[in-house]
Amino acid sequence: MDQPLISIFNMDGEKPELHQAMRDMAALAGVLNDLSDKETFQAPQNVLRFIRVLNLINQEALGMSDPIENEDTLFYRYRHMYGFDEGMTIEYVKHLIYVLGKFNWITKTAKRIKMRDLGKRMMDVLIRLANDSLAYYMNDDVARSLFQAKRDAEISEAYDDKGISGGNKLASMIKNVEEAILLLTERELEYLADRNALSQVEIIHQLMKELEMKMVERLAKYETFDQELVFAAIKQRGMAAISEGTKISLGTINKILKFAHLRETDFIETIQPDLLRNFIVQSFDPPIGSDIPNAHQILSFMEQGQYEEEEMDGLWVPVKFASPLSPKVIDEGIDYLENYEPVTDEIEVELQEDYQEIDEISEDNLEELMGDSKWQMTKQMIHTAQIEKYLDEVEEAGLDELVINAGSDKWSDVLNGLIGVSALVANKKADIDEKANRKLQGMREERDWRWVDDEQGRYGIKKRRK
Amino acid sequence: MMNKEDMELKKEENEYINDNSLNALQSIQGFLTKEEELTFMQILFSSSATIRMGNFGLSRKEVEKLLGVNGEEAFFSFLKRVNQAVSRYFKVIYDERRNLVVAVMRVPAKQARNVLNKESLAVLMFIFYHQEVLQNEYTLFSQLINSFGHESLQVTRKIQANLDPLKKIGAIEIYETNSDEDAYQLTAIGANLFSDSFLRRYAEFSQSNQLHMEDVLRFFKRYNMNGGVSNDTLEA
Repeated sequence: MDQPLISIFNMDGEKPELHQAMRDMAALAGVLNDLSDKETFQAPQNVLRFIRVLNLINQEALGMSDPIENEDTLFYRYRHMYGFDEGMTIEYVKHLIYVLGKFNWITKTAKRIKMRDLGKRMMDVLIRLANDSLAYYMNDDVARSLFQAKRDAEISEAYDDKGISGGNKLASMIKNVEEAILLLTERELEYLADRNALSQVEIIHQLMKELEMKMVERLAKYETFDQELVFAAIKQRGMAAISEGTKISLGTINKILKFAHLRETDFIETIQPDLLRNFIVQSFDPPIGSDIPNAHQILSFMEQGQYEEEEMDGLWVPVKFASPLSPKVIDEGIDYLENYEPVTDEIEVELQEDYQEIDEISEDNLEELMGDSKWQMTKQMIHTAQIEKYLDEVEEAGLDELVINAGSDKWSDVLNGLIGVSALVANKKADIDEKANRKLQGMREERDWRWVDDEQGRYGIKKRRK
Repeated sequence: MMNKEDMELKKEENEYINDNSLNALQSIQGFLTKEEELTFMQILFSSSATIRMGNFGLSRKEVEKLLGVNGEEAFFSFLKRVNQAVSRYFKVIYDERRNLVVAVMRVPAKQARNVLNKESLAVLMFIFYHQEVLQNEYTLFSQLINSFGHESLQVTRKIQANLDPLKKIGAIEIYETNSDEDAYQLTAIGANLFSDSFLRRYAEFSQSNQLHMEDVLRFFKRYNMNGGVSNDTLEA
């Protein structure tokens, strides 16, 4: 390839050939534009009709069918070929022929409708375009980009190799591969979750391999006549992309096969810890292309639900639900939002009179209060603390027990104790139960005193409940 | 217009439903197709507040206060009954060490991928194995680094980065040791995070053989999880 590629972008803008080429494009645009007046291109069905009619005219031009006399011939031939079509009318055909004639795609004489050279080229373009699109859409998302990449390679072969520029096909091819890889990585988990994904992934892998060959071939071809630095970068990008793509698609297949194989194995009973440990480490970041699934990929396999209910048994995750609001709180909130008025007036400081609280006491409480103050005075003179403390502990005690335990068995202490008890009883802090008949304390012989009547020592003293 | 009797009846009906709301949850599976049920679970999950460090769960005391009970028996009886009623979708677990009662939700396999990334799951699986199966009290950072290999700086950073989310959802916590090295201990949340089914598939892939669920659960010492008393005689 000694000569530069023929490309409109390299052409002098004043050249008549370029003008002619651009005029062709204008004719194409004109036809499409005129037909769109009647909403022709609104519905896919209308477009198909248009291309079918073009096809009929083209077949005649190629000598594959009889000459076309007029619009009627075309109309009936259409009906014969494609069956009855409600939207197909003789008026439509007439309009179409008029438009095509106007833009020099066909010539119409009294006895003959004939395709012209321009029409032939234009309709070739249209049909190729439509077929390419059809093939594109017949692939799934991932395969689409790959298909497009392959087409790029083929177009590059068909055009660039023949000295006509097909556009930046090489860069386009690499871009398409990169896009496919991106999609494939995204979709991998979905493929793993799909029980029937194997064939699909195999198709992708097949495409990937074909593409790899094509790419190498193309890149080699370019190298011979274009050694620019830009190209080196593109080449590297292309090779990296395609080799990654092949690895990923192979890895997906490997994993699917591994899972399928796993389900064919026998059930074993013991788990070998070292294998498990290795697997944990490997699943952290398995190499692309290996058959070792990572944790997410295992979850995807579980989505297949091969074991009962495993698809709903992913992980147990801690959650906290926002607590529900009661209707009352919501009402208050709405009320606040709707009726809130900011205070704009100056804040008035209200003086608050300082009243002295009056100590009041009811007649009923008076006696108690007075009694209490009297008791406090009594306590000042008579030591009752020990006795009260002892009574607090035991609730009820014999008189003998009480005075001795609260003081000692010395005559003076006992006397003080007795005075204390009488003070308590007098002030209604304790009661005497003369019939309690409680036990006397031992060691009576060693006392330097004794009860006038032992019976008195047996009285029970009980603390009054408040 | 509804007459009084009707209203009365309606009210009773409502009360009946309210009384049995927990039972109703359990019987949902009878009314829903598998897809509908999965959707329901996904809605529950998506409605939950985001999980953040310390932002979930109640202390045992708070739970007892809410219940108006105190004492071992009432508390555990509550846990048991709640878990029976909602077991298909929720599990209420009590982390004794951290004194936390936490609701964990079952997330379907598809959504589970959004919870933690694959590296975090692998690290957690390692800690889980190291502590639940091998019965170690804690896992040292250096043990993680050694196991996940390659003494490059990047791996250290990578492991650290993947420990963070685990700490955030409360699956592990830093364990105080005498050594100056970081140590991690599995919490009750971490011990419950992997579903039985996930453990089974994980183990199957590691062994390249199919396994029965009971063998898997025995290996991971989950055999008696709901029985209360642990029984070591089952260990091989």
